[in-house]
Amino acid sequence: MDDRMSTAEHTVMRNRARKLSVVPATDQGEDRFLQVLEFLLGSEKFAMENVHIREVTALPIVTPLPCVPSFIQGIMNIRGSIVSLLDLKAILGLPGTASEPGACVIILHSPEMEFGLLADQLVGLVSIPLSDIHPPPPAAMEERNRYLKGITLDGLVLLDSGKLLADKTLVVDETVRAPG
Amino acid sequence: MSKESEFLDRLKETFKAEAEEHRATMMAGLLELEKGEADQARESGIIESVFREAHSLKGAARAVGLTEIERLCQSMEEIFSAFKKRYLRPERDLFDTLYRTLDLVESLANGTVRESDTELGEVLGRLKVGAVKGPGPGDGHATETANTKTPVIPTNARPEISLSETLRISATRLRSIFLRAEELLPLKQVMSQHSSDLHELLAIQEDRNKISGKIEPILKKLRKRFPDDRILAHFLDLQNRYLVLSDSIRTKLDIMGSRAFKESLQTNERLDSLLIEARTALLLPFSTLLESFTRMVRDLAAEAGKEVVWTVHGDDIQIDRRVLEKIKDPLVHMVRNSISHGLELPAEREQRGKPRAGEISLRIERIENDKVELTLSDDGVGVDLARVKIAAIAKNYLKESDAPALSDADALKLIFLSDLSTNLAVDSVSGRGLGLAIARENIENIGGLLSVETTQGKGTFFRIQIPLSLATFRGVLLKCRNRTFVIPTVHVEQVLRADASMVVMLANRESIPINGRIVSLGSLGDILGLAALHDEDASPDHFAVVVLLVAGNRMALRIDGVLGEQEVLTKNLGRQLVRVRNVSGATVLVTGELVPILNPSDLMKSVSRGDGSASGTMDLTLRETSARRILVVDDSVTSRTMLKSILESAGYEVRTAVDGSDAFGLLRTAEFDLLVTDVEMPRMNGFDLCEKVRGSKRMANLPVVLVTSLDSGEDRERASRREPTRT
Repeated sequence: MDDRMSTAEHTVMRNRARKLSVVPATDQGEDRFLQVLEFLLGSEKFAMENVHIREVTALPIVTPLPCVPSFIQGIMNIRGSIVSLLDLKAILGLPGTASEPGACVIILHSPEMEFGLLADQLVGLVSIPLSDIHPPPPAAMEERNRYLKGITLDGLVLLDSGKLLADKTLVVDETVRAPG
Repeated sequence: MSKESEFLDRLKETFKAEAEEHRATMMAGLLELEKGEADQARESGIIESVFREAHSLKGAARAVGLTEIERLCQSMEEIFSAFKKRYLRPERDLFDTLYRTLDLVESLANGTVRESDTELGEVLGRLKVGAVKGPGPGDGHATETANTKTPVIPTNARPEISLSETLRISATRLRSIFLRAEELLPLKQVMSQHSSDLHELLAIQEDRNKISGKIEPILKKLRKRFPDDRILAHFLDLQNRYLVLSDSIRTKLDIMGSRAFKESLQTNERLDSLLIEARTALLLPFSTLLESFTRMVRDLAAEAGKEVVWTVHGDDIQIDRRVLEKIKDPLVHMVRNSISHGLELPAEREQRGKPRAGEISLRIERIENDKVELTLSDDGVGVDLARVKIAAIAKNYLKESDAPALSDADALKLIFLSDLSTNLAVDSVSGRGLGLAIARENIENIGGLLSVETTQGKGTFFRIQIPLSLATFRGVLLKCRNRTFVIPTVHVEQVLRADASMVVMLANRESIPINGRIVSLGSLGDILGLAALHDEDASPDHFAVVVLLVAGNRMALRIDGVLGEQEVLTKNLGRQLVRVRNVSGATVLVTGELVPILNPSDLMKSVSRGDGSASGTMDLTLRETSARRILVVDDSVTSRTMLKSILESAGYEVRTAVDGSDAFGLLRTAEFDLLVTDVEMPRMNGFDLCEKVRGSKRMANLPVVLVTSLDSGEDRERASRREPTRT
C-alpha cells in the first residue's frame, strides 16, 4: 500500500500542530519572547496573546439588550454580523464599567465562539520575555484567577483568551419557562 | 443532543464500518490483480468483485450524504468497468492511483480528512486520466450490451462538469457574502429618501421663485416712482442677479431630482436582483433535509412495532437553508409524533379495516410567491379529544366543569400546550409531549404558522406554512423606556391608546378589555427589566398598548409608542448569545442603529409568569427552582469573594455587586431570592439599599441579610428595624 504521501503529510501536520500548540515565541538573541496585545482596565495593565484576537476596533455604537446578564454590554454591528460585547471588568470582578473616551473593543474568535471585550485603553503589541512571566499567585485575584495565565514583575496580567472563549458560563442560552 | 443528530451519528458509525469492509475487499482484490498471477477466470472474478464493491460503497456513501466518497467510487467504478470490458489494462501507475483513492476513502470515512482537501481533487484528476485511457463512451456501447451480465451502470451518469464552471465554496463564505449583500438593503431607503428630499427642495425653490416673481412688478413700480434713486438701482441690479442664480438653482435641482429618482429606481432594481441572486445561492431543496427521514421512519417504526409507508411529494422545492435548518427539529418531532401517537399497531389497524401499514405522507407545495406549505398527514387514530381534555384537566389547564362545553377546535388547541401528552406511556420516541409546543414556537419564530386538523379514527393533518426565505419580514417599531424594539407584525393584532380607567384587576393581575375580550395587561418595560425613566409617570391617564396574538392567545403590553412599520432583516445575536429571553434577534435600521427583535412567544410566557404585571405579587413557585440566586454586596474584594465561594459551594447561584447602587441596578434587571449585603459601603450603604428594596413593589418581599463587622449597638438596632424579613 502506498501511503507514504499521506504519512509524510500527517507528519508535517502533526509537527505544525505541535508548533502551534506551544506558546508562540520568537527567538531574539538568548531570550525568547511572547507577542501580546497590552491594554488597560482602569489603571491595571492586562495582556492577551495574539492567537485568538481577530481584530481590535474603536468602540462602535453598542445597542444594549434586555434580559441578559450584566456583564453583557450589548451588541455591535461588525460588517453585517452581530457580535456581542462583554464587559471584561465585570467578568474579572473589577469595579467600574469602561466606556470612557479611548475605550476599544478586542474581538476574540475561535471556531465555536466569538465576542468582543471592552477595554479602557489600548497600549499596543508588545514582546515580553518568557522568563519574565510568572505563574499567578494562588487565590490572589478572585474571579480573574480563572482566566489568568501569568503575571510579570511589573504588574502586567496575562489573560488566557482561549479559556475565556471556551467558558460555557459566559454563554447566554436562556428560555422562559412556562408557568406551572 | 437531538434525537436526529444522534441518529445521524449512528448512521455515520455504521457507514464507517461498512466502508472499511468494502475498502478492505477492494484492496485485497487490487493487490492480487497487481501481482498478475491469477488466471483469466480468476482475474475476471476479481474485477467483477471490486466493481461490485465500489458500486455498493457508492450507494452507501450517497445514503449518508458523503458525496466525496460517492464521487471517488463513481470514478473507480468507471475504471473497473473499463477493466471488465478490457478497454483498459491494469497498469502499475493506475494501481498506485487506486490505492491512493482507497486511502482517501478511508480517511474521508473516518473524518480525518476534510472534503475540501486538495488531495481529493488531485486523486480525482488522476482517476479521470486513468479512465480516459479507454475508448470514449460512444464507442463502447455496442460491445457493452454483449458481454455484461451485471446491470449496466451508466459510466456517465452525471454530466461532465469542467472545473472552470463549478467552484467549491464553503457555506460560511457564502453566508458572509450574503450578509454583505443584505447590508446594502437599507441603501434602498436611503436612496429614495435622497430623491424625495431633492424633490422637496425643488418645490421650496419653486415657491421662492414665485415670490421673487411677485416682487418684480413691485420693484418696477418703485423704479418708475423713483427713477433717479441710486440705492434702488443698485438693489434692482442685485435682485436681477439673484433671480438668475435662483433660476439656475431651480434647474440644477430639477436635474438632480430626476437623476436621483432614476438612480433610486435603478438601485432598487439592482439591489433586489443582487439579493435574489444571493438568496438563490443559499437555497437547498427539501430533499437534502428529507433524505435521512426515510431511514429514521423505518427505524422508529420498527422500534414502535408498527408498519409505516412514508411518502414525500415536492421535495425538489428549494428553500433558504436557514429556514430548512429551523424547520428540521419541528418536522422530526411531528413525524415521530405521528409514528408513536398517530398510527395504530398493525393488528389494531386490521381490526378497523385499515391496511396493516400506516401511511405517513409529507406534501410540500409553493403557496403564494414567497411561502411554502408542508402538509404532514397520517391515516392513524386521529387525536383523541376526550383524552386530551382529561390530560388538560390533570395539568390544570382546564376546569373539569368546562370540559364538556369545550368545542372540538378549542380542545385540539390544547395539544400545543407544553407538557401535555395523551400517550400515557412515556416513550423514547415522542418524548413527553413538550415537543409540539416547542415545534409550534420554532415555526412561529421564523414567521411561520402551524395548524392541525384531525378526524377521529381517520387520521391527523399538520399544516405548516413557512416563508421561503428568512431574510426579511414586516416589523412594528416601537419605543419603550427610551429604547427601540421591533415586534414581528404577524404577531401584532392591534395598537391602541388605552385609558387608565379601562384597566381592571382580575385574579390579582391587571387586565384590559379589547374588542369585548378581557386581555391581561403587562408592562413591556417591566417584562424586559428596563429601568424606569426618571420622569416616567407611574400611572398616566392614557397609555399606548400593543396587543399581541401568539398561538391563539392575546396579551396587551404597555409601551411608550409606536414609531412605524417597516421591512426588517433578522440577524442572530452572535455566537455568545445563543438564546436570550424575550429577544429573538436584531435588525439594522437605515441609520445603522441595531434594534433588538422581540420574541412574542417568550413575552407571552413572561406575562403569564407575572414578570411584568403591575400587581407586583411575584409567586415564588412560578420561578425556576433549579438554583436559588443570591446577590452578594460588599465593597471589599476579599469579603465578596469569600462570601461568594462559600455560598456557591452550598449550591447557590451567586452574583456580586460592589456597592448599594451597583446592587440596586442588578436587582432591577435580574431576579434574586436573597440579598446579602454589607453595611458600610461607598455611594449607597446597606441601610439605604435595604430601604430602597423595601420601597420597591417588586422587591418588597425579598429576604435581606445584613452583614456587618460594626459593633455599635446603634447600628445593630438600626439593622433590626430595617430588616422585616428575618432569615
